[in-house]
Amino acid sequence: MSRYIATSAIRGAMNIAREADALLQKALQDKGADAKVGFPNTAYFLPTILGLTGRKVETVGDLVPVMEQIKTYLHPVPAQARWTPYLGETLDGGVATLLAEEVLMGLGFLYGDQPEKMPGFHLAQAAASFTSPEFQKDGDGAGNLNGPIDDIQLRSWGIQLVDGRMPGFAAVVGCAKSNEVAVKIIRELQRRNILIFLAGNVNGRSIIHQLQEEGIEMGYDTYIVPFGTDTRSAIYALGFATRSALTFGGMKGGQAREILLYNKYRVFAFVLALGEVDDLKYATAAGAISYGFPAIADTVIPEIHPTGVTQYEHVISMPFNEIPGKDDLERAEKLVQRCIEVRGVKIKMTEVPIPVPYGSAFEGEVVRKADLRFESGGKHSRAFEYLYSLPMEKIEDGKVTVLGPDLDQVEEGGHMDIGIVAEVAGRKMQEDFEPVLERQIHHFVNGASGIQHVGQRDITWIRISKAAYDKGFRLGDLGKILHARYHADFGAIVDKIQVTIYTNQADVNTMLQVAREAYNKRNVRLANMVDEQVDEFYSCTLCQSFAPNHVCVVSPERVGLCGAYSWLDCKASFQINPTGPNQPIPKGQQIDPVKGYWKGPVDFVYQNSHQQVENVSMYSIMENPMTACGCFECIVMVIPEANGVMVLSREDTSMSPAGMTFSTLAGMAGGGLQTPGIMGVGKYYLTSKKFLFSDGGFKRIVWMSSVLKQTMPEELKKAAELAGDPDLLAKVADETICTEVPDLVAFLESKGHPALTMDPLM
Amino acid sequence: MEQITLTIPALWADHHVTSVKRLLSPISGVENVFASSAFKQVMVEFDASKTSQAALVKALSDAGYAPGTEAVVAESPFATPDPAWEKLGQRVTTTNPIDLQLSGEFRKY
Repeated sequence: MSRYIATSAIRGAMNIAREADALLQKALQDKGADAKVGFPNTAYFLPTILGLTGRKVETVGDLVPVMEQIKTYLHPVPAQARWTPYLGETLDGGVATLLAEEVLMGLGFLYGDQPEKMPGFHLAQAAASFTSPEFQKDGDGAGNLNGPIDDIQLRSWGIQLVDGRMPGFAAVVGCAKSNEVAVKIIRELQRRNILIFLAGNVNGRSIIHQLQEEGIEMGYDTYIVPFGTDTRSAIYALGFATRSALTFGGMKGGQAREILLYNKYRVFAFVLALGEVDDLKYATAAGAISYGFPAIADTVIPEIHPTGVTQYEHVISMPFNEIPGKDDLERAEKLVQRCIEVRGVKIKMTEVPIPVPYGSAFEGEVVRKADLRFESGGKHSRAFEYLYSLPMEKIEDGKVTVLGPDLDQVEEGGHMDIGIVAEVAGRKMQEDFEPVLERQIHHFVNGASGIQHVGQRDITWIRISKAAYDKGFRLGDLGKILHARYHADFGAIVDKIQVTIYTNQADVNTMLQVAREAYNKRNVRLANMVDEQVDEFYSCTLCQSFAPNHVCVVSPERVGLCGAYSWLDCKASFQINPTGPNQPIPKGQQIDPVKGYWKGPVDFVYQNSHQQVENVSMYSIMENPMTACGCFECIVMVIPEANGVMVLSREDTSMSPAGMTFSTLAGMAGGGLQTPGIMGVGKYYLTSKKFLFSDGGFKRIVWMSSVLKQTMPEELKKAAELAGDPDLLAKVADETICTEVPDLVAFLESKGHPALTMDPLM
Repeated sequence: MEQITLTIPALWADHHVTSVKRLLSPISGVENVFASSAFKQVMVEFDASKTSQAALVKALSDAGYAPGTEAVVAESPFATPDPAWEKLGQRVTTTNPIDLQLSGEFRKY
């Protein structure tokens, strides 16, 4: 343990605590003890304070006991001459720092200082979170940095955090040696799909400025979240980590020890300090170390090698100019590599032989009109994609053919029809896997920097940027991407793959007809696939790395609650990884076909929830409903007065008739807890015939977030028809109609909603 | 062009760096400001015909960034010795079962 670090960290903790105390006293004077304090769109109040102290801060007055608690964590700086074991005191100082920073940020919202103002950025919105340098071009001078990440985004990242697509997060604090180095560090992290949080400055200059100057797109979609240009805003990263434990780990506020251990073992994060390290950076890093997150600096600072609080080293110094390498770019690459080693982040990487960078972090990139080199699909042309299986001998693995003109023959900003046809073969390949594999084309193609892919089947829309074209990207590279990724991700079922890109109009038309016939055949097959026809369901315990006691049971008529895993997906996943999270569950003896009890799922869930969930019904919300992790797309909750249920979408931040927002309700529905009357589900489960099968089905829905009505109108209409009431949707309220129960009941009565005359739910 | 370097104890974190730069940069005659929260120092390059060291020091002092040499928090009013050291002559620790549980097969698949 370094006395220098201990001294700096404790000194920093004292100073920040004093600042927080001063601002709190000012706020008590200016605004009064009852003034509201909190972060937007979260159910976790000030999350670090909630997690580590159990205190739910809602008003300025609530911060007073927090401040008193912070003071108890402050110890004197180590003496000059006498040795004392100061690791504990330093870590206490770190926790005090985090709590004080959150007090400051919370009060910052009260005073309108947070999120930090910065021209060229827009405050991230719930559904379309986006902070893009593009706004600067529009002359927007009143932008904001991101501030804290809201619960919606945290949950939508949940599945990626647990399935390894997003192996961890990096809190990058300070300013890189040059803009070029800043971009390289970020690209290296993006390439590994690591979520990037930005904060801090050196001499007034932050890595956020550097990336903005270089035109790097920042936002949730690109995994780069700019919190603020000072170190205090790094608290949002620790708040994110705390909420991971509260959201997915089923932990409660005040379980400080469990929350810190959860983060040490399950959240792969680290701090990368660029440039000089001051007292507050040491103090904040000490707080991060309590979470098990090590700190790596690119300057000369003392190191802390012994392990314990973190898994490997606690603090590492890697002076940038001393890193062996032929130039700064290579040094930046090695710096990131070292960070990953120190934290022990598990990375899955696939080398894709194309001329542009490739990684999941590029999936959210948008190719705008000004940057457009070529597009297919959308308004002016048609694109489709089709994957099917053939016998082994008919496929030449890795063969990519472009039949017709390539990009060079299309004028800049132009378009043409294309068809991407992938033919696969494998000993374990089954016809049922074809649509599962075909759907992956969207993710695979989107991973290329400068390529945007939207939709699927014959509503595909592909855009290619000028930058990608200039680097040498051509249509054949789409085939190379598919070849590399199918082998890497689905190697257990795909042994060979060849890809043909059709661009001749006549060929496109012919193949489109073939593809459409296959789509129809698959639709019929999926529609006929019902729970009664199969002998086994599939488990999904992917989220147990975050929610240890949760088990999803996925059946043909009940998609996983995250919406990402259907029964066919699970079946394919089991073939790929027979010891993985998707295991077949033989249905076994049928106990109750209406409520959906089978011996197999009940036993499996009991065993795999570590004996926490004793019984589970597949089709009831009232009796032993299925548990949820935290990644659910919707919450279904009983509204007793309306004798029905409401469906609240993850994307809806408004108040619901239950008197709570999504974020608040999610705390009751997630974490592997079984709560009768409330359930987390995937949105397409709403349209299943087995939705609340024993409780009255689709007709029980009395209220639904309008975003669901807007985004899946056809599916919901069909479900209403199947329920025997084609006009049902018009009788279902949403947040634009009412958010109070009396108003809801009045609305339902005026519309003659069938739920009012159904058997009582409770 | 003159250059001064001032030690400012209150310059202990990067949000103060931002404040000090915002404070000094608009002053007429100030050409460059380099502020370091690690060294708690600010270096100012200025045109002596337009401003003076005294004026810069005054601007800093008025904003709570008075130059000085003493550490700003030799002792914090909050700081107390860890009471555990008073209570326990010897620290006895046992491994918490949660540690063992969590450090085991936490990713089973």
